[in-house]
Amino acid sequence: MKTQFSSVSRITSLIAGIIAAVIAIAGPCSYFLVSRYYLLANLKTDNELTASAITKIIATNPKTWRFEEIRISEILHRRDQKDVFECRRVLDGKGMEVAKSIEEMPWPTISSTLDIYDAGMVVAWIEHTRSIRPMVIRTALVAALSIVLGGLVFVVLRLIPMRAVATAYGKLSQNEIRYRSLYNSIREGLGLFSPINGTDNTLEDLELIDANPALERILEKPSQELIGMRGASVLGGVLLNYRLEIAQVMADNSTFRFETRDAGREHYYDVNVFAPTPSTFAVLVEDVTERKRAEEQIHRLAYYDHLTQLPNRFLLLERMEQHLARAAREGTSIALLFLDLDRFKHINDTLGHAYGDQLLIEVGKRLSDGRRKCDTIARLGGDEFVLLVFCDDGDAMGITLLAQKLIDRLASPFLIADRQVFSGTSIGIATFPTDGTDCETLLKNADLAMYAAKEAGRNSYCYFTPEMNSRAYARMEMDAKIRHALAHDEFYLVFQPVMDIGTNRVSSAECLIRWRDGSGTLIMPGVFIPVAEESGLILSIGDWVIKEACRKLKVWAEAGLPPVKISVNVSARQFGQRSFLDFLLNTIDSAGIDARFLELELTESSLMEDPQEVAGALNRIKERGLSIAIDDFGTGYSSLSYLTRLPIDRLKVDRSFVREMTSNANDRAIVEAIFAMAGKLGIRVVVEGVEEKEQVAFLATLGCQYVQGYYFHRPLEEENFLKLLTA
Amino acid sequence: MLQSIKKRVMSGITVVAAGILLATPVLGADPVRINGSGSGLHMLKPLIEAYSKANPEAQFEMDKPLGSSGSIKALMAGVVDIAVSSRALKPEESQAGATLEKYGQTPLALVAHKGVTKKDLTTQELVDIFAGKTQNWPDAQPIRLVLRPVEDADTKLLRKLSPEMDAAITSAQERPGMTIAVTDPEAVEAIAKTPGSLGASGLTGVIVERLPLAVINLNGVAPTPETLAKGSFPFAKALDFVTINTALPEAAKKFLAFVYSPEGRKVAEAAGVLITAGEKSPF
Repeated sequence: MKTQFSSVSRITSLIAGIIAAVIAIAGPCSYFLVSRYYLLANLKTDNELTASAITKIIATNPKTWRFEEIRISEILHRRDQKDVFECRRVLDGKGMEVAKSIEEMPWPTISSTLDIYDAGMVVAWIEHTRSIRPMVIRTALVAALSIVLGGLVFVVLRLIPMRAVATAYGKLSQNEIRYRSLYNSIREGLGLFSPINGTDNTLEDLELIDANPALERILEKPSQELIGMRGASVLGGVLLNYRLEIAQVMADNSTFRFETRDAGREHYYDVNVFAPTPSTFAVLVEDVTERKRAEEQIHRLAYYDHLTQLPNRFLLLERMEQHLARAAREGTSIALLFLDLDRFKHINDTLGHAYGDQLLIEVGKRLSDGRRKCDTIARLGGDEFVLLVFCDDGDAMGITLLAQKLIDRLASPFLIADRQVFSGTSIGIATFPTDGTDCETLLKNADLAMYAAKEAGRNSYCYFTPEMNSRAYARMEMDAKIRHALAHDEFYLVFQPVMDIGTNRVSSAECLIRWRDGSGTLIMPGVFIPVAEESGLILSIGDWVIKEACRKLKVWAEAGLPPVKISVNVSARQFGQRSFLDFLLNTIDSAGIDARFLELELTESSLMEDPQEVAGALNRIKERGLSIAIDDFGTGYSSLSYLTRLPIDRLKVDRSFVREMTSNANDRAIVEAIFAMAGKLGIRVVVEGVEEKEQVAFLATLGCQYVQGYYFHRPLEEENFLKLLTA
Repeated sequence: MLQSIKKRVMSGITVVAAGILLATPVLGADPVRINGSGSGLHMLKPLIEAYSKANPEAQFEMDKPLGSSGSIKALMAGVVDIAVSSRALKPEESQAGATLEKYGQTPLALVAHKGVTKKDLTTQELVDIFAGKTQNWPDAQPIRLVLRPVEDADTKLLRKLSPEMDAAITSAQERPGMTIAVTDPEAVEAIAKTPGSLGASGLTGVIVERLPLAVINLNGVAPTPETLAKGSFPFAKALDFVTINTALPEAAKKFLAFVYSPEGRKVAEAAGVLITAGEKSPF
C-alpha cells in the first residue's frame, strides 16, 4: 500500500508539476506573443497612417520629396507617443535616411516596415521601431505572477488531491489493519485459495495462498508450510470433493457450506466457502467439535436416562412410534414389557438414594445384557423400565420366556457398596395390536398389567387383560371419592385404647381413620389408603388426622374430660415433608392444646432418611412436649443404634411377633429381647395386636405394662371411647 | 492643407511654364533650379517674373518650398542650383562646398484671418494666446493658432521673443488639435482660410500671395522692412543664397546677378524684403 501511495504521489506530483509549469511558462509566453502581435499590428497601422501622409508628400513632390525633412519629420514627430519609446524612420529607395523621429531608444526593440509607393513603384519605406523593454518588463511581471500562480496551482493540485489520497489511504490502511486484526484474531480458520484449472478449464486443483493464525492452529502447521499447499493436503483433501460447488461459488458469488470430520484427530469442522474476489475463493473453517459433542450431549440428555444411560421415555416413545408403524406395515407384533422393581422404595428409604441409584444402574446393565439388539430397553423414571421387543405373531411363549428370564436375572442379589441387596421385579405385558395400537394405550395397559403382577405377588409377570382397565377405573374413582371425602368431612377418627394391664385402665389411645361416605357406607383404610398413597392424597389425609386429633383433644379438654394421651400415625412420606414440623407445631398452637397429650407414631424407615435432620426434628418435637413412639418396631431396619441417639419414648412391638408369640420360640425370643433392650434404654414398650388371654399373661411375665389389641378393645367410636374413659 | 499644397504646386508649375515660355527661343537650355524657404521663394517669385521678361530664354524650375535645410540638402544632392536659406550653413554643409551669400531679411509677420478685428498684440497677449490662456479674440471669436513645425526656423524665431514665449510655444506644440503649417505658403493659405486664425509668415508671402489676411502689429510695431531696419520689429527672417560655386550654372549666376542688381533689389524690396547685401553680385 505504501508503494501504491508513493506511485500515486509521484504521478500526482508530475501532473501537478506539468500543469504548474505550463501555467508558469504559458502565461508570460502568451502575454508576450499577444502583446507582440498587438504591437506589430499597432506599428503596422501606425505605419500605414504615416505612409499615407508621406505618400501624399511624395506624390506632390516626386523629385525632391526626399529633401522635405522638416515636413516628413513633422509627420513622424506628430505621431509620437510621449510615453512610448519608439523611432520612425523614412528611407528612400536607396536606403538613405530621409527623416527620423529620435536617435536612440532602450534595447530591446521591435521593428515593422512598410513600403511607400509612388506611381506603383516602391520609392521609400517607413521603418517603425519601438522599444519593447516595457513589454519585456511587463512580461517579466506576468512571468513572476504566473510562477506564483503555477506554484499555487502546483500546491493545490498536488496537496489537495494528495491530502485526499492520503486520507483515503489512511482510512484504507486503518481498515486493512482492522480487518487484518480481525482476520488474525478470529477463532475460525480462514484460508484463501487460488483455483488451478485443467486443460478443459474446469477446476482441477487448488492452492492455498493465505492463511490466518486460526487456520494454522486448526491444520497444525505454520503458515510457511501452509502457503502453497495443494487441495489434497488441506483438510484431508475434502475440498477436492466439492470442486463443482466451488466453481459455482466463483461463478455466481454465492456461498455454500459443508461439515467435515478429521478422522485422525476426531475433530469436526464447519466449512463455509465464498469468493472474496472473482479469481480466488476462501474457506472459513470453524472447529465445531465442542458444539458437536455438546449436541451429542444434549441429544443424550434429551433421549437417554442420565443414570442408566438407557433410552428415556422420549426416545422410547419415538422408537415405539417407528416400531408400531413398521409392525402395522408388516403385520407383525410388538410386546411391551413394563418392569417395576420390587422393594425399590423400601431399599431407597432404608439404604438411601445413593444405593437406590446404584441399584437402578445395575438393573439397567442386567436388562441391557439380556436384550436382543433390535429390542429397546428404556427407563421411564423411578424404578420403572420398559422393554420393547419385536415378536412373531402369536409368539406368546417367547415373550413369557423372556419375562421369566428377566425376573430371574433381577432376582439374584445385587452387590452394592459391598452390601448384598435383593430386589426383584414385577412385569406387566401388553402386545400390539391386541392390547392397543398406540403408544399411550400400550404403555398404560402394560403398566396396569404390572400392577396386577405386583398384586398377584411380586417377582411375577402378568399379561394385560381388559379387566385391568376396570380396576384402574375403580382406582381413579376412589381417588376422586377421597378428594370429595376430604372436602366434605366424610373421614372421622376412631380410638383404640392402649391399656395399662396393671390398673386395667386406659393409658392412652391410638387414633385410627375411618371413612363413611355420603351413602353411609363405611370404607376401611385397607381400601382407600393404598389408593391415597399411590395418588399422593395420603399427605392430605395425614394432615387431616393430626388436625382432627388436636381438635378432639381441645374439645375434650374444654368438656372437662379426664386428660388422655392420643397417638397419631405419621407416614414416612409425611414426616419427610420439609413443611411437616412447622405444620405440626402450628396446628398444636392453633388448637391451643397441651402437647404432652399428643404422641407421634413413626415407622423405623422414617428415622433412617437423614439421621441428623431426623434427630433435630425429633428434638424440636420433644422440646414442645410431644411423645414419640416407634410403630411396627422389629420389622424394619436392623440397626438399633438410633434408639440410643433419638429421643424415643415408646416402642410399639409389631403385631406379627405377637401373633405367634406364645407358640413360636423365635417370636417369643424377639419380644423378650425387645423388652430387655427397652428396659435397659429406659424406653417403654407397647405391644400391639394382643388378642388372647395367654398373650396378656405372657407379656405380664415380661413386665409389660401397656398393651393394645382386640383382647381389650377394638377401635372405638369417639362416644364409646369417651364413655370408657369416664367410666 | 491639401488644397493649399495643390495651389502651391500649381503656382510652381505656373512659374516653370512661364520659364519654359520665356526660354522657348533658347531651346535645350537647362532650367535654373531653385528652392528654399517659403519666404525666400515668395521673394523670388516676382524676381523670376521680372528677370524672365528681360530674359525670355531663361528657364526656371522651382518646386514647392523644401525649406532651408531641405533645399540645402537638395543643393548638395545636385537637385537644385540655388537654395534660398533662412539659416546659416552648418559646418558639414560648408565642408561639402556650400557657400552662403547674404541678401536680405523679411519680417516674420503675425498674421490673422481677415475677419479678426484686433490689429495689435502685445508680447504678453501673444504669450497668453500661445500658452492657451487667452482663447478668444476680444469679439469673442475663438483664436485658432496655425503653428509651424518645431524645427522650423520661424518657430525658433518666435521662441526668441522671450522665455515666456518659448514656453508658450512649447505648450502650444504639445496641445492637441493644433494646425501645423510646414511652409510659409501653407501657413498663409491656412490662415487665410481659417476664421479667427493667428499665425506667422514672412512678409514676402503676405505681399506676394496677396491673400486676404490681417497683419497684426506687435507692441504697436508693424512688420515692415522699415521697422526691421530700425530694429523696432523683433522677428527678422534671413533670405540668403546658398550655392555650390563649382556647380553653379551660368544661367543661375546670371539670374543671381539680376537679383543683386538694382532692378532686382527693387523687385525684392517691393516684395517686403530688407536688402542687407551690397549691390555687387557675389556670383
